[in-house]
Amino acid sequence: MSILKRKRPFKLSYAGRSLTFTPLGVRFTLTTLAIGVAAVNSGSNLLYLVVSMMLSMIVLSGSLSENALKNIRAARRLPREVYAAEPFTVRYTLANMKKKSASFALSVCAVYPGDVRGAEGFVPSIDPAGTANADAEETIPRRGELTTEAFDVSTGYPFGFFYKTIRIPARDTALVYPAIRPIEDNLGEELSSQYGDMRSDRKGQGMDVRSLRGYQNTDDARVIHWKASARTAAIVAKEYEAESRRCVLIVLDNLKPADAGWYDDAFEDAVTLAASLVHRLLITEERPVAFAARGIEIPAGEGRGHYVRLMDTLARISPETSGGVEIPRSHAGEQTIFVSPTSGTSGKGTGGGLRAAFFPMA
Amino acid sequence: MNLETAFQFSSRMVALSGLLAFLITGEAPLWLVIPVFVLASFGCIFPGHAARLSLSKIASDIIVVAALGFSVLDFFYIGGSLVAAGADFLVCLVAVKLLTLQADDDHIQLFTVSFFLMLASTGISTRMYFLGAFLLFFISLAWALTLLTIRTGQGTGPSHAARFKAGKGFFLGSAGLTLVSLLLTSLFFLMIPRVGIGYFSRKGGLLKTSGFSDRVDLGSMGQVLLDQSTVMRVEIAGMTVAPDKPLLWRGRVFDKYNGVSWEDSFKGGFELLVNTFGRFYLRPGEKRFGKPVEQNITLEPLDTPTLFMLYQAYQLDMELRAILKDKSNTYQITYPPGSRLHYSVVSAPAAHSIKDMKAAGNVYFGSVWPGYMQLPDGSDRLKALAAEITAGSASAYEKAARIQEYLARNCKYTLSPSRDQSLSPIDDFLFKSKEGYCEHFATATALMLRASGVPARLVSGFAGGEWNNYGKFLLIRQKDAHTWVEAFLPRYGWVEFDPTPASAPSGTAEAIASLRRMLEYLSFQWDRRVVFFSLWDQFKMLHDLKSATARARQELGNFGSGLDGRLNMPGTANWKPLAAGLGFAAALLLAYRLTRVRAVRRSSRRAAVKFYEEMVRTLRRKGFVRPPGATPLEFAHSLPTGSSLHSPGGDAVFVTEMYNSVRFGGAVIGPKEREYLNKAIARLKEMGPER
Repeated sequence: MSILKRKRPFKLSYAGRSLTFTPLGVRFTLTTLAIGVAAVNSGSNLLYLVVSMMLSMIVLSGSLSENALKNIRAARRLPREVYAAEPFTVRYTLANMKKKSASFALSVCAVYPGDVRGAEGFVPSIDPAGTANADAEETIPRRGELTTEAFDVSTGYPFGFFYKTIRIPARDTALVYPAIRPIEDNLGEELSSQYGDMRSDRKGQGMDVRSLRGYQNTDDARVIHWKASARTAAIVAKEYEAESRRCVLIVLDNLKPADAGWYDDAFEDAVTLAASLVHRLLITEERPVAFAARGIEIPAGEGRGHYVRLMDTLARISPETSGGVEIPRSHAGEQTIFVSPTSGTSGKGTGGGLRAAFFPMA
Repeated sequence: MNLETAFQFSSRMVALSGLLAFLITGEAPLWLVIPVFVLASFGCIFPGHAARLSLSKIASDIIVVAALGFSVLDFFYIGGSLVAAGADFLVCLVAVKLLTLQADDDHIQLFTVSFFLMLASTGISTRMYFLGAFLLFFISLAWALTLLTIRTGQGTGPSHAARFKAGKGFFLGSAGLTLVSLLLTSLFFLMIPRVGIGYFSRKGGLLKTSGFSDRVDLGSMGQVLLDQSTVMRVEIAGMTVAPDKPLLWRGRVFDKYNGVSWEDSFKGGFELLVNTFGRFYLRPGEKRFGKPVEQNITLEPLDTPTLFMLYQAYQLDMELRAILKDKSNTYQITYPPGSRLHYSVVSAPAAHSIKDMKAAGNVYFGSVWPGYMQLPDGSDRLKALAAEITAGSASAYEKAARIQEYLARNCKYTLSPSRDQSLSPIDDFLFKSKEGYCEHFATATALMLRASGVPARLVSGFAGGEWNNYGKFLLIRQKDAHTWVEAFLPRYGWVEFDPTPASAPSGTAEAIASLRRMLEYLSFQWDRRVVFFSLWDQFKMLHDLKSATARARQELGNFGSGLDGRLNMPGTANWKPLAAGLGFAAALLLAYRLTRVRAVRRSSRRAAVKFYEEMVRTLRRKGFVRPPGATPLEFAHSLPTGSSLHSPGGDAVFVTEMYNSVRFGGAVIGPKEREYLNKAIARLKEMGPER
């Protein structure tokens, strides 16, 4: 997970702080040295005065930045659902525990394992004993458990010569769902054609007329069958068939073949496809969805809670080296989509491929 | 003021203060600097309008190239000063940058150019007023850089992040911090060792003087007597009030008068005096008469190498390897100074009583240099007048006194005497116009003394000066240039006589004069403490510090001995019981502290629960009820937070986190945390109900 890592040149670390010089700071320091040399050469006390002022600005910069970071606490709030490769807003809340002095120009970001830093939020100022929020646009590239080890709070205050950073320990784990991508055209068409709604013998709110009956006062005027009413000289109402949603089982093949270098990327693509199917079927089309993989069996269900359960599973799922897939009993008689990573070439050129097969039930 | 307006204002203030520093030098070409100054001022007052001003790339390039060409011409053919020509170029760059301020980099470039303009000003002038521009520059720079830091940070976040407002508090606070940093600046300034190498050091412009060359024409001093330029400042050890009579600061001595000008016939006859451990012994072995007077003199860069001091100086402290001394006991450095000189002199002014000098008679033992008796041709009338005035005088002193009295009674002091070209200047002064200034009075006195048999010579230097009551020093200006006479008296040698009557005091109002004296005092302190701060001062400062430390240690020792006496415990061995007692007290304190920590933890836990419960009650009243399944932290996170500062959600999160860390993590609520919790709960109480 090194993709979040940023370059930090001229970094010094001491006493739990790190100091990163900005180009302006480097220039200012070098200019101070140059004027110091000029002062020694010329013996001009006014140049000594200028050098002294510049040195005191550097020292003041260190002191004020230290004060800005002193007694700062940080907390973070993530959205309920975080998807891989999809930007989301993190809200950081910073509290200034100092009684009398405000803190200025604070940046905050999360630190992930491997010293990877997340996106920064910025707070221009926090009053004494006050709090302030900072939003940051973050993107996590991969699904899975995301452990936050600490928050880095840094400031360039007051003069922007360098950024001083303190690390506030935090142990926090969030779950990143697989990325949701639009279903490809051919796959989408197949879904629509094979997994449309099923007719039912029951009355309901479907489109097809099931039978005719006498009109009742409580009926809507739109249900009146005008031709039949004209024929029978009595008001006749239409009854519609009920349409039932078909349950879909998504089976993810997570058996990892031996010596398959292509497999990991292809497997991630497969998980992404499975998650995208779950999202489309369960959320967009409101169908019951069941899920199965090696070692995992989730019966059909509907609604947001079921979606979260499935996505939690897909966020954590990993390749297995043995075992078989058990089709949930409750799914008997419904339809199945089988998603499997293959060794072909994927669209992303990751070295693996993907196959989705449809198995309509007889 | 919003952040952008405040930043645009501060950025232009940086340029304005850089230009101000250059203006203060007095060397800035006004036709160039004033328009740019107005442009920067316009930007400060109307930052919004100024931001709309812009210059095309090609126009700015043309201006920069033209300015560079002009500066090169200025350096080679007009002014000849690289620093001044460079500063002119920098002013043009400031103008161009003020009209092309777009990106952050443009602002940084404006700061850089303004900084170098301020720096160039230090090489042109060392006037006290520079301090004002210097402070203004760094205050503005602090504002601008701080606002730039916040502006840059704010630019990186989402657009709905909380906005920063730069109010009066920000500007005053930053300015206050910069001023506080002056303490640190002073510390650095005092500590950096003054080890000037000076390969490229610059020599400044010299102040033109009159009366201190080898030949002085009579009447040449008239113009400088109107000049207010400062020549030197003198502190006299132990002097806290203005001297009761004008002191005469001796410079050059002239012995030969040819009817229109005085000359020094000893020219070239100098003796080289060598510095001995920072000190020159001027008249070793000579008898000293009066009480020694120590003078600390700061001499402006003059076009003469002459050193000025009170009469009969015998000791000079100065950071030079050698000086020159002539036969008239005047002193010079080996070349005209390129910068200010600072030296200390100890003199013993003649303090003979009039009675003794009168009693010394008229008879000279030994020979006197014949030059001191020389009279120009055609001095018969003068001789007759001298004989008439001094007739019956029993001593050389009496002759001098009578001549002085005659001139005071018959001749008038004026800076614009009428002049008859048909007569010699002195005949015109004595017999026709009877008006003139110090040169005329002194020349007439010297010649009449010579005519009456008393060796005499003319001395040029400065007289009096303005006493500064604030700084207890004498400020001597060009207008204080003066000539007087030294007469050689039997037994006592050369004694000074000043025949010039006092001129009328200037009509300056007292309030203005007082203000001027105050400014002069500040200027003097600026020069003394800043511009002339030297390695020698650093040694002295360290020495004083060492002495103060030693004194403090001694006083502490005395206090300890006194304590010994009072406790009846002579000797160090008797301190042991006291040490044991202190150790026991420390152990008790430690034990108490450990017990206290446990008690504090317990009370913290109770306090955290109390705070949390109060928060939950408060939130419930506002319509936020914790769902049964939610943990305290989940509940806090579920509260609305909004993008404004002090959002209630943030407070709830922190109260909850503190509750968790105290209740389950063993943390302690200190006074700081307690205050924060109180404020957070108070804010939650003030919050409106949920809509």
